[in-house]
Amino acid sequence: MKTKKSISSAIIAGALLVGFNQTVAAHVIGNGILGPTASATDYYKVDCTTDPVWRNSTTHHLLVWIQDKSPDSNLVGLSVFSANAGANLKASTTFDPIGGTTGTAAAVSRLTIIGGEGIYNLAVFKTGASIQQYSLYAFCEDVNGVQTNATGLATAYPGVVVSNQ
Amino acid sequence: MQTKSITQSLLAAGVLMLGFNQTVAAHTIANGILGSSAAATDYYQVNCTTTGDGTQIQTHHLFVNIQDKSGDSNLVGVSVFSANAGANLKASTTVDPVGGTTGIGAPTSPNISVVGGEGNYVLAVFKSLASVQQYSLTAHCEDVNGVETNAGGLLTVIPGVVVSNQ
Repeated sequence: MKTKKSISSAIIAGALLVGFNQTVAAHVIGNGILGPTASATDYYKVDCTTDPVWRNSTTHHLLVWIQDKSPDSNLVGLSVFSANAGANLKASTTFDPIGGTTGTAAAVSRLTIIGGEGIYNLAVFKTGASIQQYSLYAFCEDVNGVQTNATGLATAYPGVVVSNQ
Repeated sequence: MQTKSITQSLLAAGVLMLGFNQTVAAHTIANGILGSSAAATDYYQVNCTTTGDGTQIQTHHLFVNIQDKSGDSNLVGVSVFSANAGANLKASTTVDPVGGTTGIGAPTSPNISVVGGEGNYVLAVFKSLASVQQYSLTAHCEDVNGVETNAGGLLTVIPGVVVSNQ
């Protein structure tokens, strides 16, 4: 009985974990890698749309940040572009100033690009040669910072990988 | 007579300088400035087309480099993207590793070429930290031999449309 209960608990826990991972995976590139070439750049395209069924919440902005997971002096950064954003607010960049995933290295600056619904382009790059690992976070959100979770978002997110180096 | 010569010389020099500046300006943003915000990013769009002067030279790639003109530890770089480039070769980045216009590292970032043929290229100029940064951005549409295609409208299209300027 105890064994059966334990198995049931494990199944439920596993199901929750799977669900959790799916949700996170829909908004995160957890294991991005930039190749050794100094010019290596990964490029993503994210389409923020309205979910007409669930929340019917219109996307107001894209929230993004990046974590440089390699603890060295080679910095990883992210530029975002939205053609729909306001004049001279269409492009923005953030860097993780310290590589690694522990301590002060974990703190990164978040960017909000107010481009409404539509396509956002994301370029991930680094400042020098050598392989770099990164995690990329991107969320389509409404004006209140609530994820819009638009239809197709799970497949569109973390977006179409347009170029992967 | 001497006055007339001086006037003519000045006029000739002015014409030459004007021509020179137009040519340089056609391929370089010599006085780009990124504002103080760490997130400040300038965004350009360049349209490489075939020359209309009868030679019909087609663009093979966009050649790009950038010079960080501010002599500090805030690095300046540029990412280039072409939707027409080959798989996983659509985007490339170059960073000037040493700021300033004199001494070691003064020249520019490493050169990069994005082989996207004719069409639009987009360029994002960024920096790694807060503080105002000055830069010089060079971009040339070139044929397969590295010869500038100088396409019709290139002089006005290059250095491209400034899509966003921070």
